[in-house]
Amino acid sequence: MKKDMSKGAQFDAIVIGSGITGGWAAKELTEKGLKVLVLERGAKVEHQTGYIHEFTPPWQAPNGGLPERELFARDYEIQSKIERGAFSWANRHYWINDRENPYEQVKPFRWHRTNVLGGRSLTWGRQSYRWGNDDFLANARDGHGNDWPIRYADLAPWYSHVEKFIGVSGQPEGLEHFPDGEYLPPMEMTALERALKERIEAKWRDRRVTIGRVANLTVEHNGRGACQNRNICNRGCSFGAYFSSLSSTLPAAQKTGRLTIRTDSVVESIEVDPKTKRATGVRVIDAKSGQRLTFKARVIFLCASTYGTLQVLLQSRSATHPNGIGNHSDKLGRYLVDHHGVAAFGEIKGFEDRNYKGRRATGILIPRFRNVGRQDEDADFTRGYGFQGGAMRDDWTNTAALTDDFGAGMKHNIARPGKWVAFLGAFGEQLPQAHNRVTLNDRKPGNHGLPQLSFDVAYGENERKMAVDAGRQAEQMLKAAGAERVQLIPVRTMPGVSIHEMGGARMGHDPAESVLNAHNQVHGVDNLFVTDGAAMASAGTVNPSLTYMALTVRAVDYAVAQIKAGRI
Amino acid sequence: MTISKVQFRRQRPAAAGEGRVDNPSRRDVLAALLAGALATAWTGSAAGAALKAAGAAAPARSALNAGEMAVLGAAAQVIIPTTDTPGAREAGVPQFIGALYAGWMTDAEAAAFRGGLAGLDDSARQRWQRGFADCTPEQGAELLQALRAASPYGGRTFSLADRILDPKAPFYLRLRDLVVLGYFTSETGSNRELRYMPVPGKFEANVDIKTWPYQVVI
Repeated sequence: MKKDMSKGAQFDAIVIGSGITGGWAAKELTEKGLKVLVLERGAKVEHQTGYIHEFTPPWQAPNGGLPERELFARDYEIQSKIERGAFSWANRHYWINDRENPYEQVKPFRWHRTNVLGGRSLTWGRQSYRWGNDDFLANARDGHGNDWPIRYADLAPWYSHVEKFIGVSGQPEGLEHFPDGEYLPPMEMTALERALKERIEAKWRDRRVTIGRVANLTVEHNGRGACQNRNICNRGCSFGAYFSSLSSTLPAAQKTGRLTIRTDSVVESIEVDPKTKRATGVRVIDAKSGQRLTFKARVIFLCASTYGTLQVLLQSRSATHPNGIGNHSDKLGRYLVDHHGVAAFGEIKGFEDRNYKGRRATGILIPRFRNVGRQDEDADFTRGYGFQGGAMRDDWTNTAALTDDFGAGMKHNIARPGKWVAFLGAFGEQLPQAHNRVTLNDRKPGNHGLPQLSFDVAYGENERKMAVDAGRQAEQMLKAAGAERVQLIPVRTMPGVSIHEMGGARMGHDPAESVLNAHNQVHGVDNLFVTDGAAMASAGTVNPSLTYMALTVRAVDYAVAQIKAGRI
Repeated sequence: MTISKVQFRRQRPAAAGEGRVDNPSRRDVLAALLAGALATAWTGSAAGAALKAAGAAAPARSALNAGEMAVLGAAAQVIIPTTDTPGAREAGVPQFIGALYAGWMTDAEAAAFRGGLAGLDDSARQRWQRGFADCTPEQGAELLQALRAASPYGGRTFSLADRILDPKAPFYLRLRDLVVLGYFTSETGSNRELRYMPVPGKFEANVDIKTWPYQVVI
């Protein structure tokens, strides 16, 4: 790369967002020789020193860890409702202030977002799975959504590239529709999880129970420390033992000397030159001063998170792009998908003499077994779902909530490990549909006076039928594993809750049917790339972040090659 | 131990001018609420309304007074007594709950809680002719058991915090749950009953409960 490839501009590339994909874009672009500006709307957080409650013991938690209801109701009405406890007193400072950042819910929708450097790479669940080829073929097979312009083979080397850097702990299983990656040693299963695996696999030959593949290091890796089995990852980890932008990608980018980070920088829009059709700059509002600035660069990577990215594209209205960039065929903001669900749990007896020591930071996973490669005869829905769960002993908060007694016996019972409970939660693939969309509501000004993003998304008949089937299958599996009674609980019943946000600027071959091409380039704007969840044309059945990372590094590789060839 | 059900008797208003004579006294209302005698659920607002009906002024949010703290301390110690490990009092649970009362509870919750403590004290005077703080642990346990029996709760939650947040939880449950929360998040409870391990290092997935009968907290 020539040292000065920019024509008078301070930066060769601008990356919008510093989360899972923005961090990766910054790392890859700087390592390939480009001078990069990362724009982050949120506040600066430093690795280690910014994890203010990482070592706060229980007895110093405010109010014994009970929610600060007045504050939450006022400022964190949406964020404080996150399922699975990812919002707490220990990491509240990462999440966005809902009062200051309203959005419109035409139908109920949860938009969970952070507002700090590193984004949700700080708070994510770290489950790291490759999509299988079936996932890329799904749209073409059943006609829902558009055909993906790429297949598993296009992404496989990039998955490897990503896994090798971030470090993923997992167990290879040799399944075709659930590809193996490059793994650090797997975490271990509890006694009941082993039994669950044996009993389920013995009864169903098409089902596999494996340990969660997680972006936590089971051994030291790339200069980062091994996981200490605390399972408080979403507070931030000073050991650098899980992948986040702050622990991994941004330091790597920093090392090149070519990285500039600007926090408190809310991106308003992307400028496009009507003559050249190129994106020329990024308009920013300084969150602290309100000052408006423009930054220019040769190539722009939009990695602001699915809905953040869509908001920027929709807000980028001009004579050339009257409805926003990439919206020439009314596809922008449409085909939003995520994972709906249902959960089942049951007590399993016979393991009272077994316990575990430490706090493992992953669960177990049962890869998809419904409609794999073909439609099952007994399935009244298309696509499928995977299960994530675990089998652990109730902790003191569970045991205490099951009883109302008092005295020495109660004290002893609550302190001892509780009953063994096995839990399975389904992640079901929502079908891509044009009517599930976001738009801008110009009549409702939100943060910094920008129009509010308006969500009109709902689950449909296929999702409902799938959830019924998933509940039934979970119940059968838990019973086969020894549960006498199984209880189903509704989870992920509202779009947004899974925080697996995908779609809205989907990839595709046909510019009339999609927003991005096979290399995540916006159709018609060659120097603008979108590589976060917005690019997804369908949802698959596994956590999507690893795929976003693979798409990002692949797109950077392509972009830099195009720059070198003089085409961008 | 056999438990005799505590009888809550109505009392006449003590002082003239403390509300009209045909009004139930504040204590009566509280006693009735405590005994689950009212059809309304024992919610903060119901308690507040009942207190208002009883002619009580809206309670100011000062800290619990020494007498109330003494009742709370004695009750907490009955709920989590000293065994081979320290009890609630030594673990600072009364102070923990006192701080929640002063700074965390809603006005309605605080009124209900304060009323609940007063009711507990009343029940002790009626049953044992002394305040709750002066009862023996056995006497206190009998009173709490009676209160527990008289405090139906229809809700069901999977975690302690959810139940503490449930406005339908009766005073007995609120008291018991806050004592449990306070104790097991205290430095004493975290280290002596549970095992506070800020950095476990390893995950030992399958150990014999005889060698490790503990829960790791962080």
